[in-house]
Order: sequence, then C-alpha cells, then structure tokens
Amino acid sequence: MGANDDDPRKHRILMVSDFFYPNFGGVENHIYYLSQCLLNLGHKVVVATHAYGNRSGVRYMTGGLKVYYVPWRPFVMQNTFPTIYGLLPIIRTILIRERITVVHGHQAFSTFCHEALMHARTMGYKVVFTDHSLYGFADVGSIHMNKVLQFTLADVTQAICVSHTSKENTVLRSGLPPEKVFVIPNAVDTSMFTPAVDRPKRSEQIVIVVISRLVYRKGVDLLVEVIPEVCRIHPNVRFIVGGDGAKRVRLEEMREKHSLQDRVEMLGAVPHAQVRSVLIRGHIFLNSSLTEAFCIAILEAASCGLLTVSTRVGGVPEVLPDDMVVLAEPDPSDMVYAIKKAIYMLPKIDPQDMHNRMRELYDWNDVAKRTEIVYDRALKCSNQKLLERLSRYLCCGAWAGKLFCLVMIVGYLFWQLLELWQMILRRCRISLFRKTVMKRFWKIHNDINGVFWCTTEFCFAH
Amino acid sequence: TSSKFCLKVDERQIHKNLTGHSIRSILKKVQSPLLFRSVFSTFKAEIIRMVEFSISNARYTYVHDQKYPSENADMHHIVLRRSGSKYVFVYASALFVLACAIYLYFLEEKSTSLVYYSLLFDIILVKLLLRKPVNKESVVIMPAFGVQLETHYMSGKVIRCFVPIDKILKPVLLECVTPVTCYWTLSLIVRDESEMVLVFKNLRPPIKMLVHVWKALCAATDNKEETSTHTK
Repeated sequence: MGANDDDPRKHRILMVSDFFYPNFGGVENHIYYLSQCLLNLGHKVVVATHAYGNRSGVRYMTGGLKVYYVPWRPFVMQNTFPTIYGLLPIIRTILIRERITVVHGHQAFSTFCHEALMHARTMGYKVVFTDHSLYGFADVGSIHMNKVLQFTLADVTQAICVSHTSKENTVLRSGLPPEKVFVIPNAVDTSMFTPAVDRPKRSEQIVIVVISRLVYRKGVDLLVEVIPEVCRIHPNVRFIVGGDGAKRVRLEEMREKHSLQDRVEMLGAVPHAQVRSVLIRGHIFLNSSLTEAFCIAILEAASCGLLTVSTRVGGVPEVLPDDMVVLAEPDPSDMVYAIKKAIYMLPKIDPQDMHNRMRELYDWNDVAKRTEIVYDRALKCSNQKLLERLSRYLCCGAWAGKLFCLVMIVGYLFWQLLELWQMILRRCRISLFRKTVMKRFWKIHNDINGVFWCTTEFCFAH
Repeated sequence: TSSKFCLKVDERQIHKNLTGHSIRSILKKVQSPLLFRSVFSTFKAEIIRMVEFSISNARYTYVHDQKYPSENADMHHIVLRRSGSKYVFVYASALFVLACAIYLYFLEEKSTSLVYYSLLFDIILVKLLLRKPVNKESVVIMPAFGVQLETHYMSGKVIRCFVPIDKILKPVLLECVTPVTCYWTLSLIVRDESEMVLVFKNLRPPIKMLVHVWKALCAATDNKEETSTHTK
C-alpha cells in the first residue's frame, strides 16, 4: 500500500461488471485473470459487482484482490435492476474510499457497468470500457442495447475490443471514433490446459469433442445435421458432447433417431475445472457458433493439443494460426468437408508442439501490459468540464441526444446534492480568517470516514 | 514597540479535545522561545501524564479511561455530540407544514380534515426522525473476566450486555456494505453462535476511533489465550 502511494505510474483500478465469480464464463475469467496480472505488475485492483445470493459485502480473493459485492438484486440474466441514479451513492463511496484513478467497465450487456461508468464520468474519473461480444443491429433488443451503448461510449476515455471484428462491430454500433478503440485479444491460462501425457491412439478411434452451451447462438442446429453425416461417412469417429442448455433436447432426439447412442456421448454440464479432462480425451475440437467475438474455447482446445474445426464467423479467423484450425462456413455440408480435412491433417499434429506455440502466442501477462498502456493513455487525456462533455451527447441522435444530456445534467445535480449532504453530515467547516482577532481552526486530517480534527483557539492580542 | 503575545487557552478545552499529538503540533508552530516555554509549562501535566486520551470528530468523541492496571477495568467511550440543528430543522419543517394547513383552512376555506392530517403527518415525522436518542456507547474491558457493552440513552436509561472472555474468539474490524454506503464496524466473533456481536450497535464511529478499541480488545483476548495455555 505504501509503495503504491509513492509511485505515480501505478494505477488504482476499479473493475465494474455484473459478471464475476462465483459465476463462470468468458467475461468473469477475463476480469479475474486480468486483475491478477495487473496486481502482479504492482497496480491496485478492486472489483465491484452485484451480490450473488448470500455473497454480499467485501471479500478478498487471491493476491489481495478486493471485491465489493454490492447488495443490489439482479433481475434478469444476472443484470442489476436499472435504476438510473440508484448506484450513485455506493459507487461514489467506493471511488473515494479506494482512491481509484481509472474505472474499467466490462461487457455491454451489463446495467451495473453502464450505470457505474456514467457516475464515474459525472465525478470526473477516467473511464475505460471493454466489449466482449458481437451484437446485431436488427432486432428490438439489439436496437435498445446499441442506444444504451451509444450513451455510455459517447463520453468514454478509451475503449478496448477483443478482436478487430469486434472493434468494427463496436464502432458501428456506438459511433465511437476508431482512434479511441484498442484491440487487445483475450488469452488463455496455458498452465491449466496442457495436453494429455498419453492419448488414445488415432488409428483405433478418432474422438471429436464439443463443449459449449447448447443454445441457438452456439449453432446446435448445425451440430444436429453434421453429427449423423460424419458418423455415416467415417465409421471410426466418436463424439463427446459436453454442456447443457435449451437445445439439448434436439441433440438427444438426433441420437435416438439415428441410433448413435454408442457413438455420441452426452456429458451434461461440465464444471470449468473439469473442462481440461474432457478435452484431452479427444483429437479434434468442433466449434459451431453462429456468432463469436473471440472464442476462448478454441484457445483452450489448442492449448490442450487438439486440432480445431470451427465456423468462419466473427473474430474466429483472427484467433489461431492456419495450421491449427480448419475453418468452414456455417453450413452443414461445408462443415462435414472441414471435418474430413481435419481427420486427414491429424497425423501431422504434434500436441506438445501446439501447446508450446500457444504458450508463446497467448499470455495473460501480455494482455495486462497492453491494458496498462491503455490506462496510461487514458490518464493522459484532459479533464473536461460538464458543458464540453454535454456537446458529445447531443450528437447521439435527434431525441436521444437531448434525453442523454438531460440524464447527465440531473446526474450531475444529484452528485452535487450528495456532496452537500455529506458535508452537512460531517459538519465541515471552512477556515476563517479575520483581521482584528486571529482565530484559526486547525484541520489535522480529513478522510472519508469523517472530518477528523482537533480545534484549538489561540487568541493573539496586541 | 514590543509586541506582547498573550497566550490564552480555554482550560476546559484541554481536557476534552487536546491530545498529545495536537499539543506537539501546536508546539511546533510556536516561534518565540518565551511563548514556547509558557505553552510547554501549561501543558506539561498533560504531556507527562496522559491519563485520559481522546480523539474528537464533528459528530463523535472517543474517550479512553486508562485506569488499568490500577483499577480492574479499561473503559472506552464513544460520545455522540449533540447538535441542536437536527431538532431545529425537524421542528421547523413540522411547523411549516402545520402553518400551511392552517393557512389553507382559514384563508382558502378548505376542510378541517386537512389540519388534522397535517398534525398526524407532523407527529409521524417527529417520531420517525427524533427517535430514541443515544447519548453514549461504552466498552468496559475487564481482563480475564469479560467485556461489557453499554448503551446510554438521553433519557438516562442504560442497556448493558456482557460477553464472557472465554466466549470471545476474536474481535474483528469489518467493512459493511449497504446499498448506499460502506462503513467500518467492530464486531466480536463469539463461540457457538452464527451471528457476530456488534460492539457499537447504534453509533458509527470512524475507523480511527475503532482501531484503539480493537487493539485493546485484542490485547485482552490475547492475554486470556496466554493464561489459558499456561494453565494447560
């Protein structure tokens, strides 16, 4: 703590998102690993998220990572209920208590993140936003989401995207100038995903592994058509399907219809800690997502020495080198052809060599160093007054621009009221100086827990 | 002309508000040697003796009666500073509401029920905002025996709660997060109970005051551990 106070190059970062441990997922892991690597670099990191069940209050994780589980109830899909100004008091308290310098928000689909970033901007803090997903433009949900994103990103200091495709998508959705957006890909914990010491022989049976949430977005409908075809063409191929979701029923039906019970194994939901043990049972990893900003699953598979077959969507082509992945269009016949090509490529694959290359290509420490550069750049940006910032909101749209300006002005007023209220509570007194009789009130120390002073009156009479 | 510096310090203020730290800081600022000597001689008793240690805040005063080991009790008090402004504000707003209702009744010929409703509202307001006022909360540490937590109300009523020393596992300083704020509390982890015992139940003193009480509680419970291991 003392070293942190002295070194001006070290930042004090607040990560805000609705998605954090004890939830498991891409965004959660990203925040956790990034925080740990930033702590190793000497910065201070605090995470703020909503309470998960009984888990409420302040908790400490590995490395001294402090997590505030703020007791606001989530209402749909792990998102906090959106009261526009409800989070202002607690966010203000956390920002002042921890003496934060940069606020880093994650995931566009997180109301906690949007509100916290808005309040941080109102209070004049530098704000960085990371977008983890691709979104559409056409349906009602996406249109509203994009408008909210436009509001948040109108005044963000810097933005980070996980792939170039994601950068394009974010810039188009939010109208952010591309110069403000950095591309920092995700990484994988290669020490956790190591290849198997002894693998099942390729000549006997080829095992294809699929691990994903079984929902529409992840292309389960494609799987339903691809699996029977591949089983028909290649008699020595087996499938292992891990994961659970709404579309699991369709896969079960497919199994029954084509009598593939001995060739398709359904594992159900696989806890994150056991993903590696499932992956090392296979030779090929199949990913059939219909949309993906950056696929960490194929990174994990490549780190375990599996050859990947994936759909050519979103940011997937940017993730792996060409000799580690076979890409296909999201069409069943094209995917069957890609699997055939992959089976043909299998003898040339060395799992350990693949793992070593992944270790050099992707590393969370590298991500942390690049993020540090973004923070440095953010802190160099100038402080802007409220009026200058309001002009940025006005260009968001004819009606939306004016609405956003109104929201920011009301937010600013609420903040000033809150500051005044806190001053009244603490009974701050400003020092007085009078010429005839000098009276001084010495303020010894002033901190968020209360104005802590000792008063002494010395009367100097001439 | 020689300027004469006359040092006048309110004697009562010394005992209530000044600590050794502030005396030192005052002494540092005094320039003239004559003045320095007079200041030092005035505060000499305080600097040497330090029987009573106190920290002050706008809202709370922490007083530590350091009578141990001469007496068998170590007492820490957190006193809430009474402020008249809260009462003035609440009664003024209640009066304002009543005045509005009476004005509406007399001058604008509205019904009397409005006056009654405003009276009811005033009574509820006063009851809610000016509830049982707490004057002081104390912690009396009796080493090798237990800890007594007292709450003194303005009406003179005192509520006491005793925790035996062997029931206390550890005193802890915790951060409590509410939907609108975050503050420090001092609690005792008690054997065989799932809930912790809050030391200061009604007041929220700042961490600087809590640290002193926590250190004293830790010293008392550590001593207990040492004596218990000795007997074993």
